[in-house]
Amino acid sequence: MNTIQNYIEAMFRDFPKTKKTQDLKKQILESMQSKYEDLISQGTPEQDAVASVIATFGSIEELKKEYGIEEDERELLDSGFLHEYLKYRSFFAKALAAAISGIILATIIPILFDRPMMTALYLLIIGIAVFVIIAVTVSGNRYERIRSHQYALASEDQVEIIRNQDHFSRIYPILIAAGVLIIIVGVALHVLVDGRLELLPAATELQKDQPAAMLMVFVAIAVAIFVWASATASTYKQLLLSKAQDAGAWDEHMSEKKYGWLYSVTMPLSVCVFLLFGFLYNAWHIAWIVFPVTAIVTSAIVALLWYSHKSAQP
Amino acid sequence: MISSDVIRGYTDLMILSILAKGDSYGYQLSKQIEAISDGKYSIKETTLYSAIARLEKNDHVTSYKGEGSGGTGRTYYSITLLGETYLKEKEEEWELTKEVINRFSNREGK
Repeated sequence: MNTIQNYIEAMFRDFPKTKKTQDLKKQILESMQSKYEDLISQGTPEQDAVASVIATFGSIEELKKEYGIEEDERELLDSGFLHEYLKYRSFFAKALAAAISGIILATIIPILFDRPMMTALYLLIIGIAVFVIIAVTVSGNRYERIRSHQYALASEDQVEIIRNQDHFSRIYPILIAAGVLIIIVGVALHVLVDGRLELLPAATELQKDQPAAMLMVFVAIAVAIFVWASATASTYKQLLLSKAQDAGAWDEHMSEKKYGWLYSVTMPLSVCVFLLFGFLYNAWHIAWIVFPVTAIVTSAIVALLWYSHKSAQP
Repeated sequence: MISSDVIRGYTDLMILSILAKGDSYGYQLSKQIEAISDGKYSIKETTLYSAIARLEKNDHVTSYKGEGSGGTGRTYYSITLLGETYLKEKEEEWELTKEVINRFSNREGK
């Protein structure tokens, strides 16, 4: 049943979200659902019923012409290439999550050990993580044409992606809530244990540092969840982005294409600030805040630049 | 099954002739078309709805919200006076077309 609905949604991607097209979509959906129910009541197997109902849909170009929608002249995206891209994005999300939370997790080393050897090991881990981030980002360049929407999705692929997005959007809020919860628990435990240790005069230097190290573990897990979830969500969002349907999201996409390079300046800078604060003031337990703050500030700057760029145009 | 390219010019006639006998809605229209053609022609959704859009734009049909089965308002269509005139024109056009094409078709037999 959902397949029919997803199919219609996919077919109407290029239509503006007006009352007129919503009405049309609803009518066609109702008609196809009635057909489906008729077939089911005649004893047709579900799969066959769905297939034969979809076969009676016709060609969306016919409706586009009548409703004055410009025909999509972009080249159709090869299904094999698309699935290769999806595989890459799934790897990208995991690698990015592992590298970023790896940096945070590795911070345990300078927190607990104050030896030059350990500091060197820590810097080595950061170096590897940064290399991984750059490598997976650069290897995505060969899919630039997909990301800049120079291809149109075939309808079956579109249906598949809408279905995947549907599934993912159900677990996404749970993931974000879990991540937030992990951080809250981590901070609460940190405050609790830290307070207890202050009262213990016999605590060694190593023991005193343990709560901060523990907090880093919680933060690392939460950040891994955040990064993986948002990278996965953006894969679907990007692919299904349509200028006609969500003008706001399209605008955001264009602004990131124009000013997105700012991130490649501010994020490495934030790593430097993080290391500086960590090493100079031994403030690891709080220094990680610099990452979310930098991300938020950078996106605000990108939005501001894009806004002034747009208002400067006639 | 008839090729839809040939029949496309006459979907307007089919829809209007059904509506001339009484108001109808999308799914019923496509069922009626299939029944009247004895299952020899079944109209695609996009063909039906683009024809309806065209007919509505030219004031040949009007629509209104009626009672649906599932509680949601169903869109019904009814033919207008202009539509009835247009239907007569299309019927005459078809008679003429049929007559002309028939003179070419089956010529060897004559």
